[in-house]
Amino acid sequence: MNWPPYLLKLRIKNTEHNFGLWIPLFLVWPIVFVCLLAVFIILLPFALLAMIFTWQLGWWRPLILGVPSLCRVLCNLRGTVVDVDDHDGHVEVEFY
Amino acid sequence: MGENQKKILQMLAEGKISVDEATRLLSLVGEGDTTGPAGSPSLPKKNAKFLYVKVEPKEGYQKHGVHWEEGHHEAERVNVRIPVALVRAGMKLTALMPPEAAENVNKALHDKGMAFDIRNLKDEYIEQLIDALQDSHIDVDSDEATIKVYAE
Repeated sequence: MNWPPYLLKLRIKNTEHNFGLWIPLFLVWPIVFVCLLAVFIILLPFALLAMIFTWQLGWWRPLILGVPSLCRVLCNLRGTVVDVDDHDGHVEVEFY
Repeated sequence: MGENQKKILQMLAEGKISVDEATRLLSLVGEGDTTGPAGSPSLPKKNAKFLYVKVEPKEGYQKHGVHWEEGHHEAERVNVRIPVALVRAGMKLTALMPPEAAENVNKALHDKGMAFDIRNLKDEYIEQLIDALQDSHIDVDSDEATIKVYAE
């Protein structure tokens, strides 16, 4: 099983800023999860109503099917590196 | 196809050997032939884990280059590594793309000379693309930079 990234390395360097950040995502995920769960519980009745009214249109289908896809994307982020260096500055993002 | 198998087929085409002899020889060579077209041993194909996109500016276009010429602008240096699993997972999200966004993407692709409908992009195409990138790298050599796209 793939787990979401546990660290995010962010480095930004330009004429105005020059900083590097190590964001401990393993501490952020539980908070995000709890917040999402709360939002989900609050919005669930409205979402169900919306689903019933738009049943014929089928709008709900991609939204519901998209949740597992989003989770899969999140879990496969580990190892992603984006490192761009141009005349404006240098940006480096790396997921561990 | 191995070198020996090619030779056998060549001999058959030239009429030096009969079909029966060719069949017998091919069966003998069969699985024992492990040499690639260039004589190198053909290794079992490994599944690529990452997709790489690298852009290296050439001398004169580098940020800290020494040979600056007038009118030249600085080229970007880009190093992107994307897990292949992320590409596969991202493919599932194309179903969520609103029609208007797909139209805009198609229009942008068309403006760049690529007549392609993003809604027709399928998982199999990505698999084939990644397989192809494992076998051969894409190298673009322009005046300003060298671009490499490959999977490892």
